[in-house]
Formats: sequence, C-alpha cells, structure tokens
Amino acid sequence: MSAVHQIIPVLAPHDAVGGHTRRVRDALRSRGHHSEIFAEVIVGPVPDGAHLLQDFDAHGAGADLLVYQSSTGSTAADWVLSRDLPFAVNYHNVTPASFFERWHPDAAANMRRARNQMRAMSLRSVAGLADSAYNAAELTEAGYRNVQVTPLLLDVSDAPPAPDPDTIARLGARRRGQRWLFVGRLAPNKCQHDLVAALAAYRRRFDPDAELVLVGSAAVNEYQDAVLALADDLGVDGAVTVVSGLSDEELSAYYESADVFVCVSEHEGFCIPLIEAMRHDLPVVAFAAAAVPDTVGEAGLLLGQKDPATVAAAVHELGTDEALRAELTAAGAARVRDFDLARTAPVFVDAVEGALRELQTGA
Amino acid sequence: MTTALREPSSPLARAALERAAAEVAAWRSDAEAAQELEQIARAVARRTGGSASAALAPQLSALATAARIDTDVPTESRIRAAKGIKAGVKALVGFYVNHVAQQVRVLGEATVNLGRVTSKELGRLEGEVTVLREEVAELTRTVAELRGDAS
Repeated sequence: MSAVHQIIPVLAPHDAVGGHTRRVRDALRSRGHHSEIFAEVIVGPVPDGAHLLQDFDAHGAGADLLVYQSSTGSTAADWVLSRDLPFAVNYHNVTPASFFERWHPDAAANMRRARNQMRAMSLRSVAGLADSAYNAAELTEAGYRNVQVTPLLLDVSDAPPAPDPDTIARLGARRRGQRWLFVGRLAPNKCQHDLVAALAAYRRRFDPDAELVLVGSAAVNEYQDAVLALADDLGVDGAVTVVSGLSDEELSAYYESADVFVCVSEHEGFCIPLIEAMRHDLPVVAFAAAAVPDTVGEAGLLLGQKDPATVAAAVHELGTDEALRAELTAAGAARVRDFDLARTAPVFVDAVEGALRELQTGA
Repeated sequence: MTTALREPSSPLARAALERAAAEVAAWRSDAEAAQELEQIARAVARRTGGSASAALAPQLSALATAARIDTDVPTESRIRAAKGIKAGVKALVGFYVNHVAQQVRVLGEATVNLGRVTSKELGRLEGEVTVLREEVAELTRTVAELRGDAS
C-alpha cells in the first residue's frame, strides 16, 4: 500500500473542497493507503488525520504521491512545486479574475495567482483530476497529462437534515406568491443581480407576490450593496431577502419552503447547492454556464440565455406544469444518487491508484 | 460563457422550453412590456457594470500599480564579482536612475488621478443620461396619450 497525502490551502469545517478532501482521505484509508491532510490554514478544530503544512516533514515523510486540492491561489501550491515529490492536481476550478476586477482587485489578483499556479503545476503533475468535464477541459488546455473526470465526494447518502420547525413556520406565514431560492455567496460570478432582474420581470408578468430568497454571505460587500440597490431601483426590495449564517436545519427549511431553485451564475466549478436542491425535491432552473450543465445533467431546466424574460418565463412554465415538476423532481433524486459515496469514492481512489501505477512503471 | 447546451431528452422539458420561448417572443412584441424589460436592463447596467466608468476601474487599478516604481537599483547577484560591479554601477548612475524614475512616478500618479476624476465624472454623466432617457420615454408616452385623446 502507498502513502498518498493531500495538500489543501485552507481546511474549513463547512467548506465544499474541505469536505471533499476529508472524504478522499477516508476513501484512501479504506483501501489501505496511508493518507493524511496537510493544510496551510486549518479553521476550527483540527480533524483527525489533518496537520498544518509546516509539519509535513514530521507526519508526511515517505509520501509516494501528493494530491493538491486546487481552487484558490496559495502558498501551499508554491510549496508543492518546491518539493521533489510526485503530485497530482485535483482541480475544482478558479473563478476568472475578470468577475472581481471591478469589485475587489485583491481577490482578482489572488484568482490570477491561482490560475498561474495551476498552469505551472501542469509541467510536473502526474495526473489532473477534475470534478466536471468543464474543469477537465481547462486542465487539458493548460497542458496537463492523464486528465480524468473524477467525482466530487459529497455526503448525500442520508436524508437531508430535518428542517427547523420555527423557520418553516415563519416562512409559511410570510408566503404570498412563488418563492425562488438561490444558495451561494453573493459574488459577481454568481450574478445574483440577474436573479433580482428576473424576479422583477416575473412579478410584472406572472406573479406580483413572488419573492426571491438569497442565502449566502457577501463575498464582496460592494457587490451585495449593488444587488440590494438594484432591488430598490426595480421596486422589488420588499420581495428580496438575503440571509446568511444559517444552521443546517435552518438551511433545510429554506430549501423545503421554496418553490424553485434558480441559478443564473456565469461561473461555477461544480455548484453543490444544485445537488442540495435536488436532494430536497426542489426543481431547478439554471443558466447553462461553466460546469452547471455537468452538475445538473437532465435533472433541471437548463437555459441557453438568462435575460430576465427568459428566466421568468422558464420559472413560470415550471410553476404551471405539474407533470414537468414531478419529472424534474424524480430526475433530481436520481441525480443525487449518482453522488452516493458508495459509487463515487471507488471511482476517485481508482484514479489515484492509476496515477500511482503510472509512477511505478515510470510511464 | 454558456457551455454545450444539449437539447433535453425529456419531451416535457423540451415542450416547456418551447412554450417559454414563445411567451418571451409575445412579451417582447408588446410595446409597453418591452419597455419595462428595457428599463430593467438599464437598471442592471447602471448598478452592476456595462458602463464605461465601470470598465475603466480595473485599468486604473493596474495603472496605479504600475506607477509605483522601485527606484532602488538591484545589486544582488550569485556571482560575487558581478555583485561588486552592480554596486559600482549603482554608485555611479544610481542618482540619475533615481531622478528619472521620480519623474516617471509623478507622471504615473498624475495620470491615475486624471483617470479617476474622468471616471467619476463619466459615471455621473452616465447616471444623468439614464435618468434623462427615462424622462424622454415618459414624455413620449404622455404625448402619445394626448394625441390619442385629441383624435
């Protein structure tokens, strides 16, 4: 058996890439490999088998392969490049800097750094593991060899957390019309401003009481301010709610009490909330950008355009066609089963073992 | 931006998308509704970009970074002799490099400031143009109504 350690810039409890990294470690260990996680920064309590990167020599000596979790610019990437150890890159995508240039130049600089690091790593990486075909195409374009689509390891085996009853009651009492939901940080690439515009059009044409709930903290305060100012300009400020800092049970209540999950993001490396919506039997309408079509598959209404009228009309169709709604809900449940760990973990470990064999045969 | 949008295999989904497209076409053919959609688009552009002043922001940021010129002549070298030579060159021409760099830096900073003032003014003018367009549209509607009443 081999020693396969993962390197990640930040290991945080409720972070998508952090959760994937912990599940990869468990999957590698269950196949008998020695596997530890090394993070530049660990947020919150240190999970079992996780260490600070500065302690690598004490806990990671003798590694046969490193797997670098790539999603942001980091000193950890430079560290991997500086060591004489074979590595693979697990790519979750990096938001193009252009989305943030206007709003947050420092964040844009970090994104440029991340992409430069991703390209620099292509020269020595033994394999590129991407969690969508979209991400795989970027790795291939960057010059990676042995590029494979490997699943993001999610915890969807059990039923979602029970919805918080108080939140359900409060949202129920407030209900007037169709409730749209989107979950994700308020960030320019996620385009919540286009959701506000689509809601304004929808209220004028179809349902004057419709509302939009945006769950997520502000990635950029100025962008959140602009989204709220736009809602005010369009006269829908009372119909747009932004909430953050929810418990898992409260978040479940928001999914359960919504009528439709609407995503008009222009850049996503995967977009876990799409799968979470399906897990809560909430039908999805989404703009087909970046990795979103890979994630949604046939389990949502995918749009080729996202002007307010197109989004509003698609949501209206979903709200008025019961048969379509039932079909998409069933397709969503099937899509969620695709991410069952019993299916996905072996696929990921097989890919890592393929990279190890490649190293051993010197291919 | 969009990625390989395949037609859905579900007849229900295909039919829903076709009905939605027909609805959008009907929507846009209604002059008043089309005007509402235009207002929404203008509001989005005003708040989130699509304006010349917004497009200038990253360029100004990059120019501000470029205007910060390091005037300290580098003398480090892995070769001891080269390091000595570089230090000698620095002693001889360092004052001149410094003099030129200071002027370039002042020019850069002045350019950035000019750009910022221009951008701010452009943003203000864009806002005014949008308001004026809306007023003209409102007046046009009123005139049309009055003409209708008169006839």
